[in-house]
Amino acid sequence: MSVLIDRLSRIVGARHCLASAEELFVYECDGLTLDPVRPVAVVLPADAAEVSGVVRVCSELGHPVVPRGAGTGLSGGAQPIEGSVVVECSRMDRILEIRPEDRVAVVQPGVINAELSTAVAELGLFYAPDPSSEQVCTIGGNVAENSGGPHTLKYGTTTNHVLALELVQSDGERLRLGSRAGRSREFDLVGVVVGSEGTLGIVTEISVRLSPIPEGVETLLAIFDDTVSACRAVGSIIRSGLIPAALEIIDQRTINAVEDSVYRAGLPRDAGAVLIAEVDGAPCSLPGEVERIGECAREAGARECRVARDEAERARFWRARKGAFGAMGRLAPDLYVHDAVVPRARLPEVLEKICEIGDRYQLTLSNVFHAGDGNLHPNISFDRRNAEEVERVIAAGREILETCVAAGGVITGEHGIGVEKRDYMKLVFEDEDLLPMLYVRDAFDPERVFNPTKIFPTTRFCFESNPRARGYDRVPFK
Amino acid sequence: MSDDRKTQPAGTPERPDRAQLLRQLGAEEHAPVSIDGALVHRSLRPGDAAAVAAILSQLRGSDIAVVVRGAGSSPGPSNPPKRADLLLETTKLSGVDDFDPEEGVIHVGAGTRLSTIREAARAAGWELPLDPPGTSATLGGVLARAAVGPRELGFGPARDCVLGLDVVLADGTVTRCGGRVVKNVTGFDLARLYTGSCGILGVIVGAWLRLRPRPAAVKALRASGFDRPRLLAWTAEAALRGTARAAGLVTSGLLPGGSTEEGCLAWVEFAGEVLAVEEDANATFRALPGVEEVEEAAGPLREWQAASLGDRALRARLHAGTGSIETASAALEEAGFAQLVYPGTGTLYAHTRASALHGPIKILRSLRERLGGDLCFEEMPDDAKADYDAFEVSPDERQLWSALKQRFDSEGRLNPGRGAGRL
Ligand SMILES: Cc1cc2nc3c(=O)[nH]c(=O)nc-3n(C[C@H](O)[C@H](O)[C@H](O)COP(=O)(O)OP(=O)(O)OC[C@H]3O[C@@H](n4cnc5c(N)ncnc54)[C@H](O)[C@@H]3O)c2cc1C
Ligand SMILES: Cc1cc2nc3c(=O)[nH]c(=O)nc-3n(C[C@H](O)[C@H](O)[C@H](O)COP(=O)(O)OP(=O)(O)OC[C@H]3O[C@@H](n4cnc5c(N)ncnc54)[C@H](O)[C@@H]3O)c2cc1C
Repeated sequence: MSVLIDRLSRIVGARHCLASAEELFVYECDGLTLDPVRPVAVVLPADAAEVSGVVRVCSELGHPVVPRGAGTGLSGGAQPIEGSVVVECSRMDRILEIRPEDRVAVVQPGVINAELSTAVAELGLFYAPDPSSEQVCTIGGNVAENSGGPHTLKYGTTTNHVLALELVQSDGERLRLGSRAGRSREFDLVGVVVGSEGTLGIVTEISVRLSPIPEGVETLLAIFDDTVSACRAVGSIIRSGLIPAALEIIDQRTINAVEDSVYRAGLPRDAGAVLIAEVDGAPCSLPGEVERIGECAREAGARECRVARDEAERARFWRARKGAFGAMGRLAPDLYVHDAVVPRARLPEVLEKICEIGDRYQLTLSNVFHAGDGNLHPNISFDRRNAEEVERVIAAGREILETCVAAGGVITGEHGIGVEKRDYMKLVFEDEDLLPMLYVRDAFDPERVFNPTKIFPTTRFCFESNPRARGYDRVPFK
Repeated sequence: MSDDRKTQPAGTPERPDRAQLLRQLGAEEHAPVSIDGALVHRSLRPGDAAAVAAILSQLRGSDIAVVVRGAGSSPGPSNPPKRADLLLETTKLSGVDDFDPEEGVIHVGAGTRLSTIREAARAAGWELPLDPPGTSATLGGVLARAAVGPRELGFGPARDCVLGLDVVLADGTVTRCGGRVVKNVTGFDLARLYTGSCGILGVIVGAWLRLRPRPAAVKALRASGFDRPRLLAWTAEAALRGTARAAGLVTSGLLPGGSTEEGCLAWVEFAGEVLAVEEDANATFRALPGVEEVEEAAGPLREWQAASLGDRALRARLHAGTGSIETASAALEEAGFAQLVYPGTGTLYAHTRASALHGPIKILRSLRERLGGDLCFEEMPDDAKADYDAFEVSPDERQLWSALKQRFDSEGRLNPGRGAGRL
């Protein structure tokens, strides 16, 4: 082992090679905390050349490599593997180039998502993918998970905003994929690296597309007596031909958790659900769009529609939405954040079924989700010290995913498979469907150095996350 | 049998066993069909995924090369097949199998013509976000090529509308990737890998597509009579507007007669909410004297995109990026290329006619290097195809594509030679 540490230290410097038990402790898991695994070392390289050296040593000595950004992933993508070396990219946090005329930024993988938008705001630009964890998660992690956010509905997920990548392979070679002028139309490899959860190599540089800050934004809060009506409103907004920037639903349990927390936004505690609808673009057309959304909401049974009067009120609505996971840390010691997608028209019935599952298993289940994309986040609050309850959480989780798949949906919309859902892959795919995925992995990483136990089914099973223990309830909100 | 040999100028001579195998599959001989110069004498038109799978699995272990064809309509970028024994035509894999008008998603067979999908979508208030040139193109051909038209500015690249694909692998394995929902990270994003891979990894048999709501308003403008820099600036400015869906400029060299006096031609199209379209169109109208409102902008641009200078024509597509569009266009003009320019997507189509391509290609390559962009040859004389790869991928990318091809199609059966780097 000391040979490994010695060689790694020589590459990244002893300070940036962690190998003591105390140092390794915090790296034992990511946002999925129940099955911690201690890595043999954690290295924090300063640049791509160091990453390349580190990977070469690990390959040579037979240690799996687990790439890591900020460790906010919820499916165990950055969870260590037995005998692995974790390569954390947090020191590679420089914005290398901003080209406003091309609307392109070149960044290192450790750049924090929200910091990029902040850096380019004065140019009238922003980086569109906005996961709720934007204040802490890294763009490298976003690329690996193909992360989305509330504004995915209009702007797309990470993959729609990545133009080019540098990827370090298992032999340490650095490959450049795509070009800063854009991904090639034919023979695009960037698209398969985005969303590959750190299994194809370590991304050491990313060229991303920046978007112009919209001239106008209007945000509407529609208040409903129940979640199902809010879902119906979403269906009719989609059918009306509008493309809102965001359509997010928060249910009553979450509203109350939020109102009890630092994220409180003055949401009505007695509401069954609220829908946050946002439209952006040319200011001249926004009032009409808000009007039409209001109509859809009222027809679906909204008892009140409030349009944010100013930026402060708008920020308050969003604080409630983006702080929801953190706020839910108050409901119980642990929180299982599910992530599944169904066709939007099926949301009302699926949601009813999910609540029924929660009740049947006597669990505290709440929902806060990207309704416009049909992307559900049923969250189960529990206490992991109660083994019997944990069993119920697992069983309910599986039923929820089965329900979503039966409705034509899939088992993850943005959090990824990781270790959490690798054994659920077969709910969606036949063995044959996994074959080409294996071909891809083997073409990129024939030695299976990178994150070898992730995504593909095994018999092992892991789950859960504890927002409070992980500090997500302290995720700052600007 | 001896006839088989006689009529087999391309590819490997037909051995008795392979002729028998082809006949067993029901592929009777017919007059030769040229696929990029390779003559094929036998074809099959399977009616569903299972039939495609049956054909490919029976070919396992043989050295029979299969060339996939949709409508066969496109003279688009491609390398000639290295071997071609059997034409697999997808035209019977056609039809809309499932359409959810609430959701705006549709499942169609790969052999379906885009026009059919477009009509089905339109009838329910949706729009198919694919508008490549040509009227007979099949979905499979368009996705295999990732072919797009002038509305790429508004629609995004072809891969963005693909939610899921049904693909039969080279060994006959029937697979599925993605799904029918609009957001999905369940496993690798294979749909993006297949889209644009020119059929070298598998045969696309069906797809789930995401439609877009039909816009409430559309307005088209046309400008002419100005020199290239002035008109390009106008087009580029229009392309930055929020509702711009297409914006393109054709330089005089491409116009009939190639007269410079007439200046260049430009079209822009806005689509979206009524007031926003109105505002963008008005501002663009006022930005240059003599602009006229016209019925259609995307239509003429699409035709110009398919334009060819004819004999010994070279048509290259250069992705220069939006910020370098003027630099790239000026450099191309200086070097004597006629152009179609889409400033909003940073794409230029550079046209020239040359007896020797070495000179023009050198210029294009150095421009690509300078701008950090991408280059692809959409049309070139047949005799040049042996010397130039249509898809100028980097050595890094070629290495990975080679590894992918090896795994997806170890016998090199599907569209051999037609991929990037002649894979
Ligand atoms: C409170 C909270 C809210 C969240 N909200 C959202 C949301 O709205 N939308 C959403 O999509 N997700 C959300 N997430 C999940 C998570 O934040 C995202 O998946 C995020 O992209 C992970 O980034 P990270 O830097 O923390 O990556 P990590 O968790 O460290 O890693 C994630 C994956 O990326 C890989 N990886 C990291 N860096 C690299 C690299 N340089 N090269 C190759 N692979 C790499 C890892 O191996 C791992 O597989 C949320 C999480 C929390 C805790
Ligand atoms: C005059 C003209 C010029 C054009 N120029 C261009 C151009 O330069 N660039 C461009 O991108 N588009 C161009 N097009 C647009 C055209 O829509 C596309 O090229 C499209 O690929 C043609 O579809 P098809 O069905 O005719 O495909 P085909 O010509 O039959 O096939 C195109 C390619 O796709 C493969 N393929 C077809 N179906 C499948 C399948 N189901 N699974 C796997 N592989 C398959 C074929 O093997 C072949 O490599 C042009 C069209 C016209 C009419």
